[in-house]
Amino acid sequence: MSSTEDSKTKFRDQRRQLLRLGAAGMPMVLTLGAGASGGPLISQLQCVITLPGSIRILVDDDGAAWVGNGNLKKKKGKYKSKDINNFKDNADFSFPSSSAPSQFRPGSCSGDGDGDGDGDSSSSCYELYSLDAYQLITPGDYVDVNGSWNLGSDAASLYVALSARQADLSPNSSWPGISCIVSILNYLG
Amino acid sequence: MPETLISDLNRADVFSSLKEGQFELILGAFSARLASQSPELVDFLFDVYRDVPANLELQEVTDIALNVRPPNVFRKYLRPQVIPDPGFKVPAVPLPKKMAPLSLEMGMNLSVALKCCRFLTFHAGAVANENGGVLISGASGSGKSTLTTALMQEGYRLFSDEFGLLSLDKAEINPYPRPVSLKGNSISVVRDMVGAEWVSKSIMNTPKGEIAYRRARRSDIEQANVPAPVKLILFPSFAENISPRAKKLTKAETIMRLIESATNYKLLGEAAYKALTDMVVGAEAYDITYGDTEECMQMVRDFAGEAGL
Amino acid sequence: MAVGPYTSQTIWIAEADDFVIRQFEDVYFVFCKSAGTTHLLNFLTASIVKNAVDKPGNMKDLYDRVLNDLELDAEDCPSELFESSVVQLDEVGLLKPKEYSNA
Repeated sequence: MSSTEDSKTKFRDQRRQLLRLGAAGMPMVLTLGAGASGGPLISQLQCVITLPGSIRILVDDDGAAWVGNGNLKKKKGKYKSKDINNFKDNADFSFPSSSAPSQFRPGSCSGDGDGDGDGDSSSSCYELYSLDAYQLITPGDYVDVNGSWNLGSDAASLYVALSARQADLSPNSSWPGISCIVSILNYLG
Repeated sequence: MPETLISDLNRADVFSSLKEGQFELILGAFSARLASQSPELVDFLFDVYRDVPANLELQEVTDIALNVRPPNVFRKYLRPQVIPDPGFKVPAVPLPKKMAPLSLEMGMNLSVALKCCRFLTFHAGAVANENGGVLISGASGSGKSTLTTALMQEGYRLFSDEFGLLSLDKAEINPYPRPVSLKGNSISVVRDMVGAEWVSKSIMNTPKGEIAYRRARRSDIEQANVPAPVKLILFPSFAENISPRAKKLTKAETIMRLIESATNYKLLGEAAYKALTDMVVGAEAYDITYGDTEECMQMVRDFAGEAGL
Repeated sequence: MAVGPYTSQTIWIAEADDFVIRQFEDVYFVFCKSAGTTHLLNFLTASIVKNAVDKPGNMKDLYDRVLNDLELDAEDCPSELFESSVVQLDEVGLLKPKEYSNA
């Protein structure tokens, strides 16, 4: 056999081998650079936060936030001041105003006196978000190709926003997932 | 107008220009407007950036605007810290005030990696001689900075230890000779290699451990506007006590790896695809695993010779 | 991108104007302009796209032409593999089904 035929046979064999792999399930089309939000695949962006328990986040109209697992029930679109104060007092973490981006703050805000006659005032100046125990959050999914946070208005997005804030306020805190967020914030440089 | 280097300037003038946010650093592919209240930063500029052209007052529109500042007004008084603020929303970890130089370097890197649209930007070291350029692509800890420094010792010009900046219209990389960032063990390796006077004093206990910077040479900075065609692409990985080995990569393998290492490939779309594939056509590429810099360099010299460098 | 059910009569088309193809060794890099994505194709999927550009056809038609072009037989490239390759190309938007009734 001539060397040209030799290499031709080798080439055919390679192609047949690839087809056998395809028949065995290997993808025949590969999309490149399709990592987090189409950005580059950066390992630090791939870390995942697993929430250790159910989490509730209370946000006021200034963007201050309280994170805990207290119970809060809305009545006629409002929370009772007593319940709000109770939640705040028992919160595991609290954030100063402007911590929660505007999309998470309550749309309209009004407070009133003892409107329902049960000896407590109530307010609509709060919004409550809930996250389930063991919920997985991949903060890198919220970093867009320009390296900016690209957050929705759901509870997981809020958690990511507050995580970044927490990393700024106190990078060594016990906030669940702090090391993941810090690694993302640090991933360049 | 002749260029003024930082070393020609008066320290107090530089500090007051920084305080006013007027300080302009002109270096190869990018000019930067810097603002800061940090005296540590002034020391750093006079040491590591001493041969870089600069202006005390803004002369032109700059590519990068960076404010190394306290995270908020209260923080300034309670626990002095700094963050890099590149003027667009980006999360950054506050660092103690004495780490302002690291904050400056991180901020400038962020600005280039995330906002540069004129070049396809690879996370790679880059050097060149008169025949062409070498791109050294690798993650943190791969030995990118050490190899970049070793090639500088062999007469290559420093382009960058962090970014390969590929022109979109031709297969050329562009210099941005910022100081080479060294971490951990590589600091002593490089001090021995180039002499302690070329390496800044270490900043200890940073989020990345011990950090020091190898200054760019005046000749690197003087040729910071001279691009080079890419002839050789290296993908090093470092592991202790390993005998060196190398594998020549196919063009297809090289393209796949480089797409993953480009920070703005997706953003630039078709222009990036064309620039990247054009570059790979004209270059040889190797995957290198090594445990000793000199052994690695012996292989690199051979590959450079074969690639016409 | 994947489009719902298709039949044996579905005509598959590829829009040549929507992508740039460059070949390196036996690998093809395809940049899709509308989606801004880059895909890596092998000789089989590249040939499917090329044939669908030259002349759109149904699954059987494309299968016959591709096998002929690549000098392969059905043993080398079973029809199931071919079909799954077409579906993968559909999923990334390089092929599109165009409903066609032959009845």
